[in-house]
Amino acid sequence: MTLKKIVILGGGTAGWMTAAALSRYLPAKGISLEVVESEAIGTVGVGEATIPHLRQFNQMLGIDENEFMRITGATYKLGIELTGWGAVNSSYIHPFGGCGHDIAGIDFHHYWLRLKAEGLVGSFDDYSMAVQAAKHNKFQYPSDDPDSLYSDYGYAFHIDATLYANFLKTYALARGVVRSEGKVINVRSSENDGGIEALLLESGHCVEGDLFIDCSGFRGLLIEDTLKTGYESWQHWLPCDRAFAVPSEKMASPPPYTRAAAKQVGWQWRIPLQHRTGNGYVYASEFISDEEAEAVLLAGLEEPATAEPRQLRFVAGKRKKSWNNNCVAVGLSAGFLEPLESTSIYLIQVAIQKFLEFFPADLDCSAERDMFNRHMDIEYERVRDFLILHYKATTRRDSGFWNYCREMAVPSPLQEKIALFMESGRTALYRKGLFMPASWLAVYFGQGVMPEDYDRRVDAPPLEVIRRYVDKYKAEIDLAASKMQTHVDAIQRSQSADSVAYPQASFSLYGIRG
Amino acid sequence: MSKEGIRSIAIVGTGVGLAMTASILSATLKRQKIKIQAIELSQDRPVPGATGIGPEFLPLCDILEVSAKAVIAQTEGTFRLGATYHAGGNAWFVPYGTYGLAESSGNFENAVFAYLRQHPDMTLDNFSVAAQAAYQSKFAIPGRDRSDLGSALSYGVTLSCKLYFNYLKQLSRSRGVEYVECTNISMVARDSAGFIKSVTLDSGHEVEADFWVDCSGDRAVLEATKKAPSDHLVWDRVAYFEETDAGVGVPASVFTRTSWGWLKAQHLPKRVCYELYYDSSGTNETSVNDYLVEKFDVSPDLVVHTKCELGIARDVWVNNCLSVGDASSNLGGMVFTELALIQSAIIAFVDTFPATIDSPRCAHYFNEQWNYFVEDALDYISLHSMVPEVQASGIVSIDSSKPGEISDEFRTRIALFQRLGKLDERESDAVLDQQWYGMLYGVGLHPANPSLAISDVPSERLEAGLEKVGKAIKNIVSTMPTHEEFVTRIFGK
Repeated sequence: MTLKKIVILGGGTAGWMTAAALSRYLPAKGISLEVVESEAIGTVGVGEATIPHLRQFNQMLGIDENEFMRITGATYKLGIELTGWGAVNSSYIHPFGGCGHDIAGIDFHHYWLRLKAEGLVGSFDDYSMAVQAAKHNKFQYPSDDPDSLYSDYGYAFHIDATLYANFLKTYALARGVVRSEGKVINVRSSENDGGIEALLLESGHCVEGDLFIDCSGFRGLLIEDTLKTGYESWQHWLPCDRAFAVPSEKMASPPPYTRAAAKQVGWQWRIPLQHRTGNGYVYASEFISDEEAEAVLLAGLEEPATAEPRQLRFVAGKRKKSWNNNCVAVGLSAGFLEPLESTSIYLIQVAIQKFLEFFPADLDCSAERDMFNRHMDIEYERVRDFLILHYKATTRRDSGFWNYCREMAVPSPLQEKIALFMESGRTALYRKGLFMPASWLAVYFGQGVMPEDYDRRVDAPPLEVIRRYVDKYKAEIDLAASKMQTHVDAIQRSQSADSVAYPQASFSLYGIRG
Repeated sequence: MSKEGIRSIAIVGTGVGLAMTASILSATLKRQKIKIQAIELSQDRPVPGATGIGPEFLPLCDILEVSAKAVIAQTEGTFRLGATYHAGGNAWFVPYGTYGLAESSGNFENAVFAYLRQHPDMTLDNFSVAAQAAYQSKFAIPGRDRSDLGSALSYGVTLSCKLYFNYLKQLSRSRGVEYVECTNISMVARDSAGFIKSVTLDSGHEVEADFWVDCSGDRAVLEATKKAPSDHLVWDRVAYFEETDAGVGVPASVFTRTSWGWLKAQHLPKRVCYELYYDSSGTNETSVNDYLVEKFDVSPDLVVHTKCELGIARDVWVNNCLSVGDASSNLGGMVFTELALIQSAIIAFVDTFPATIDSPRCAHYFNEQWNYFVEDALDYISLHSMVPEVQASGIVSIDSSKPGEISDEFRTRIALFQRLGKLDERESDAVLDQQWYGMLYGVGLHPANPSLAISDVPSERLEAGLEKVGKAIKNIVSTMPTHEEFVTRIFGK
């Protein structure tokens, strides 16, 4: 049976990213697209921090980055500052880039560990170009010259997700996507195979389709309410189940990084945009009341709030299958992982790109569906495990929440990864999924997790030789970072007539070296 | 269980696997001043005349800090661009190099599949420089000014096993590896935790070491792990023989399907080394010899038959012993030679080099990564034993009548390829994407549907573009020297 029409249920970031991407490729195949959304149903819209992959998505759609920044009020992002996650007074930046370079085929951090054991080096992130730039509120486009220090990082954005969704809506509608306004009151399923045939709107309008993309949010109107796919909860590993979000006034000098500040329970985010600041507090209701949580959020603001806080409730986890029958879940309907590492839009993007990669030849598409689900399972699990690490790798004992996190059992793949690192300083390498060794090392060292040993091959060269090399490298990074323009200047320049061409995007967190 | 660093490694094995292991370890660990000893057992099984090495050959030479040209010259080597297959009237090529040319855009293979649907007289081979060169017995290494051809003409080598062993043994000796010869091991001494402390040779000589590598083949003399049989592996016997030949032959290994398995031919200068892999449940030595006499006029006295102890161990690194090659992963030798497996395992071991003698987490991680490698290798080998069925509709499907032979994941991979011409990403680099494309398409699995990736490319532009690539490939190959000419030019033979 041929595929002639795809219906996307839900606007918001997930819905319009999906519509925009599909509208780029599907008209050539003669497949029509329709988005069903209701203005009566709000979107989550808390303002988003992103990761570098979004640049590649925009590039795929042919979107000019400077126009994108202007429309979404974007600032640049070089990483995430995480405070209070290891010890109460700890602070580190997880950058979009590596630290150091391998020497004689051995990873830099083993040399750093050797020097650290002798008390001859400072923080691990002293050797990260992105971190040094971020700490000094600097920004510059990375270079595509692999020999340049400026090629050692990537970058992303802080954006107003609502404005982004609207921008993509305009993009999609201009490319022939049809929009239907209305609330779905019923779903017609096939008697043969239980697949979805049509959405019945409150207005009486019936929207038929061959394949449906569920971007309806947490509830999963199609993937769960209709198809009963099932949800796998990960709350025992990620105990936060609520969040308050509130916008505040813009910062005079927005930094080029997101802040995720751990609190006695949960953590608070701060996302600097051009026109405002996005704030939120993610917490576990078992350990703190809603009233106390709201108070924590407001007390943690550095700029005056410009609206009342809005609450969200969620269960960390994922749908048992992202693609079930003729319905593909994208965004919150597929699963939820707290935005600690800004992965929400990434998980939307990767679902869309995998769907395009395995776009079904026809509706008898079990191979495409199975392969898609396999990939999405891995993506979610890899992000999940990386997030859990932040909680597990704490030394805090100042609340029942942190005691729980410190002592909880973790998924066995994560347990193995941590055990490998503790034994040898090695990080497990995998090809599929996000967060490569550079990210894991940032969290381990940033939160004070030190392995019992390191690659002893680095014991061979004389200590003084290594120390001089590493000191020279640090000096070069510091000098290179000092020469960058300020973040504010970089934003202004992106909007000016003499804006510099931005670099090609790559599907990597770490720039061209990723 | 010791948390001391590794100061000594002992390798136990025979032939080129032993020498390869010793060479890699002595090259990569030289700064650590680790004592390396090689216990050379007497050979217990026939040694093939030739061994084929894929594109991993050049990186290996870099690791060993030797000149590739020098190695080939000293081991009577020839070059190879991949493998030619002949089965049931069909022929196809599986290249080491990429399809198309460097300037070919992404999704090139999908474009080719769309094109081939309209041009059934052509095959994937028409868009492979390596395939066209191999069919015409041509070979060349692109110069630095031809970066467009670098990946398309990725190559490996075929070397004399005996001479390669000699070369590697001499190399590792010159780098401090101590060789001790013996017939066999008489005792392995372990501590209470199962760590090997020493081995006693049949001469009475005792060898101590902190860490051990067992590359003793199916004997697995250190008994560190246990192999389990695998459904993937069908051919349990191999017959070796050689015949003289005038030149250097084609720059490829050649696989020919027989009633009971595959005949593999590898050219060295002036001789061809054959390996006939067969399923002993379907035939016997006498019948195989009769076949060879008729086809090659070879005397049965010169044909050596041997059994393959097929099997795979999940834990190849146990305590302080790493079992490599046939000692832990006997995949039959036809597609993945024991030497290829040893090289991959030892290089991966160096990358995971443990800080201390007792490193169970490193071992666990290594085993996990190795299992990915073996799974991918087994899936690829499976394609050689599957019998594609052409159904009434003309659609080719894999014979799924033997349950348990392929995993659900692989079944999905095959189905995805048949539907969309797509490959999913694997966790290991055991098999290159172009090898998958070549083999899947060659056995008759032709993608039925156009990919979305090229849906917005007008068909006229696609046709014109691919015809241009095809012509460019023909022109490039026409200017290449023959394999014979190239070898003569390089080595002056």
